[in-house]
Amino acid sequence: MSNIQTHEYELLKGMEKRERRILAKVLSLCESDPGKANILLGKLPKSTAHIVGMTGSPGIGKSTLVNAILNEMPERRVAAIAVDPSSPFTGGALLGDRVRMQSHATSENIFIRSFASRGSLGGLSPSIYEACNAFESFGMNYVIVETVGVGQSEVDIVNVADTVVVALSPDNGDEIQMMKAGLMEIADMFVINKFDNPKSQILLSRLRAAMAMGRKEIPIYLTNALTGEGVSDLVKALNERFLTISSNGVLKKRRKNRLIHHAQSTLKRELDFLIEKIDLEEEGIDLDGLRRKLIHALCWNHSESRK
Amino acid sequence: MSDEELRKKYDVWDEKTNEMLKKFPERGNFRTTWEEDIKRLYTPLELGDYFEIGFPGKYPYTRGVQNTMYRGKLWTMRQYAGFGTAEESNKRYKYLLEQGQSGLSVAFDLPTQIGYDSDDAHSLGEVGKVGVAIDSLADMETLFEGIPLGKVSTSMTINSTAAILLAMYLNVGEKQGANRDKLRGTIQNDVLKEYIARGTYIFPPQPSMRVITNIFEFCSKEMPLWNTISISGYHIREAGADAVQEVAFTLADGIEYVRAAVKAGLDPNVFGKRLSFFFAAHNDFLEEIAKFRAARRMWAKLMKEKFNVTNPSAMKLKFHTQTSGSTLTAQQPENNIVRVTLQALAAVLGGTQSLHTNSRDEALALPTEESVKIALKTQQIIAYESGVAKTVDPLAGSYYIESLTDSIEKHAFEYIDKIEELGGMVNAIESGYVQQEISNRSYEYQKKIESGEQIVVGVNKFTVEETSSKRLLKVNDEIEKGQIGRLRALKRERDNKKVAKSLSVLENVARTDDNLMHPIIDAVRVYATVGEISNVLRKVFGEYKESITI
Amino acid sequence: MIKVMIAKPGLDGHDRGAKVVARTLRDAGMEVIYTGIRQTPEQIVQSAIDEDVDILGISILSGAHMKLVPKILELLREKKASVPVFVGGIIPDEDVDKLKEMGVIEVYGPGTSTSEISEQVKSFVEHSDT
Repeated sequence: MSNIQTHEYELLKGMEKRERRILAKVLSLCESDPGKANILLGKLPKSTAHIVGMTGSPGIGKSTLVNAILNEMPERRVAAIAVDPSSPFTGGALLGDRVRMQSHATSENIFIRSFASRGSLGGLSPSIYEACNAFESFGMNYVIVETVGVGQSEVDIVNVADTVVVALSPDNGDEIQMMKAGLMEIADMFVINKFDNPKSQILLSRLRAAMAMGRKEIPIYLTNALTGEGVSDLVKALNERFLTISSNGVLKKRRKNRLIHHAQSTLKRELDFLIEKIDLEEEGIDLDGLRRKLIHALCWNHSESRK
Repeated sequence: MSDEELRKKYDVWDEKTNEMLKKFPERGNFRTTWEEDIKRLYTPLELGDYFEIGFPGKYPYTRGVQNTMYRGKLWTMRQYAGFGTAEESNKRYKYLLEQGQSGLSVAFDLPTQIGYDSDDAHSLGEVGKVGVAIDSLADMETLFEGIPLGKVSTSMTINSTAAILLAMYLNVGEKQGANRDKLRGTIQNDVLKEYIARGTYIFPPQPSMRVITNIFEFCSKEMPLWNTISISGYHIREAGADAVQEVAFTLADGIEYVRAAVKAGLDPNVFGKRLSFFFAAHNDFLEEIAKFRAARRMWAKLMKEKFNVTNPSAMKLKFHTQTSGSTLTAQQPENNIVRVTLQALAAVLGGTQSLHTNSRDEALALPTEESVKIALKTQQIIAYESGVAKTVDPLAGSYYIESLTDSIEKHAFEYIDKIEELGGMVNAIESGYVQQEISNRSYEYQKKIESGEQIVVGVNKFTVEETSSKRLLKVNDEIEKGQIGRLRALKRERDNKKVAKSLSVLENVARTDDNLMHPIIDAVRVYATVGEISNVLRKVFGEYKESITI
Repeated sequence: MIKVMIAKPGLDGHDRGAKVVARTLRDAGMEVIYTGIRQTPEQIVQSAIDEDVDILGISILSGAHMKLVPKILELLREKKASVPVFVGGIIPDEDVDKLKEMGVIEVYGPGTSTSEISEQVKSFVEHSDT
């Protein structure tokens, strides 16, 4: 319900002039009316940011790690997105990850924004694509997306990010279990946080063993997010990776994939909206019959094309 | 009457009573603060083994830590207050000493407690507010100017920066010619409860435990008369915990400290004697009495069974009590005198060693001199008129009190077991478990007040129209300005090369496993500030960020 | 969807009230950002702007409200942010009036029912939005 009536022109100008207050408004528009936001963002020049997904189970220090990464990027323009779950019953949410990054709240080059998952299946915010685009239009160098940390969002992040960092903690017993859930496939980098914990050596060797059975070699970084140890190496690796994927075609591939998923999510959202909305406008028509026909037509078309 | 006979008679009585309920129903359901059903009637059937009740001064100390309790010596009536500048406090201390008081109690302002200098952006509006502002040894010298530290005993409410303030105290003492092994006093030094409730933490729990252990170790060798910790449940209770949680989380903190001390090579038989505790006295009168008794018994068992302590004095839980500030109401403040009286009485019937009674307007405003007096008189009336101090543990054997005591013990041990399962208190705090448990209870309690299920006289029932006149401690800008002025002058005039060198030595030591007390003592001696020393440690240890639980 | 920030300036750790309010608002279906303790006015204001919250609640028990609240209001104006602000804590009556004159929309003292707060927050947001 934010004040989104601010004139479009004002928003466009503000984005061009890199006014934080306006960026904040545009991000609200992404959440409240993504359709409108897409149209608006389409009118803006876009730069390319390195979009990094930070994932891993809850309570392993993802926010602290993002905070430590922010510490190491004083010269870069960085956006951090923290997603927290919405209650399926009340719709309410506690957005608490920001707390760990509050020392950067007043940094000129850093912009932190909390999103609620708002019933999105993946556990990422439903307007994550629009939000990333908004940050890119604003000229950010980095967009770091921290996931909720449970379920499907761990895997969905691969459709958004150019680089997926999977954070693991030696304290968490479920790590290997998580590996089975597809994290191995989507990880571009692993980080073992709290590496001063003696158990991290066990985790490290298990991770290496798991990797040896798989096909790809994924780099592993050891950090202590609280003290910042090891984080500069991680940031260096992120910078280098972006150069590499920019030139070897990987970035192009990731972006194409992101666009496909953005389109799919838009299609689904708009279609959902239409299917629900007809009800309000056209009374006296057999709407359910219409919906059944629609289902039939879509499926028929689908199966015909597969023949 | 045998148990069997009694049981039969009870059942007959109970059946009849239930018949009567159809005609004369009870007012509602009755539950303890930890949501356990309270029975209509307690009988000897509830009494367990008499060993669990025992004798005062004997294991498991349910009935008190001394044989004669208040027949020998009354509890210490310890009222304290904080003052803005070191100079003002110094005057006050001298006055108190002239009046025959032998102990001093120092409250520090929040910047001092959290390791910020008075000119730090975080300190805005806080300098000299809830206690005295100390930036450097110079302030500490002013604070104790003309007071013989070799002769007085000083209690300091200080936690995260306890090592720095202790180092300053020791330096002032030595400048006066009082050797450190002659100094007597207490530091609160209980950082774990800061994460749970009070909020003056700086570093993450692990390095905080290291600093605490360094203090334990240092004091055991060089300051043997110093009490190195006061393990506090008061703030946990004030944050919304119930009676069981207060006991459980406080004792679980205690376990963690003893464990750390043992790991550092200290003998719990010796070290255990230097431990003291601090609890709240809340509204539910009988429950509170049982709480103190249960805590005492549990600690004795823990020391004996978990840490194999054989020295009886190391098993005794000695504690200070403060009446609960959060139970005081802004509405009809006179009622608070009655609340404080009941709470204080519970503390005395529970066998406290010392007691602070709140003033009726304490939670809302700067207490007037008159209300401070009434608070102290409350204790005197309990001590000299009520008669409760004439025998030891007068409520022992009450079916209900003993049953409550057993129940608190049972439920608190369940919590302690759970925390041990999570890997101890540090892990339990880091995961947010303890905070969440308290938060849930606090939220439920608030809902009960709003639904009227829990009545607060003058707030949600029996209210009257009243014009409130809340007076609050005003921020005195002059204190802040003066303090910042002195700090800036000090930073100009001291030998800054020596300061820089001492801080770099401190940083190096912090990166090893060596004891931090020595480099901190050296740094404060050359007038490095609380903020500078804390910042060096922040750099090495990192800063704790709370895990948000609501 | 209402987005609200509950902020705790100052150094005191008494966050029981702030947490109870945050939880009430969340359970009333709002998105709540709780900043945690020890926030400077600058941090609070920039966070409120970046998060584009509909309303900002400030919890103060330390007695520093006449320093901190005006500072927060001033920074909001400076940064052209029109976020309604309410305050919770122990505030003497004379200061309540002063704070309201400065632009604080409501001050909640000890004993205020949380359902009253959440109802009012809803209505403040609805009215400030037009």
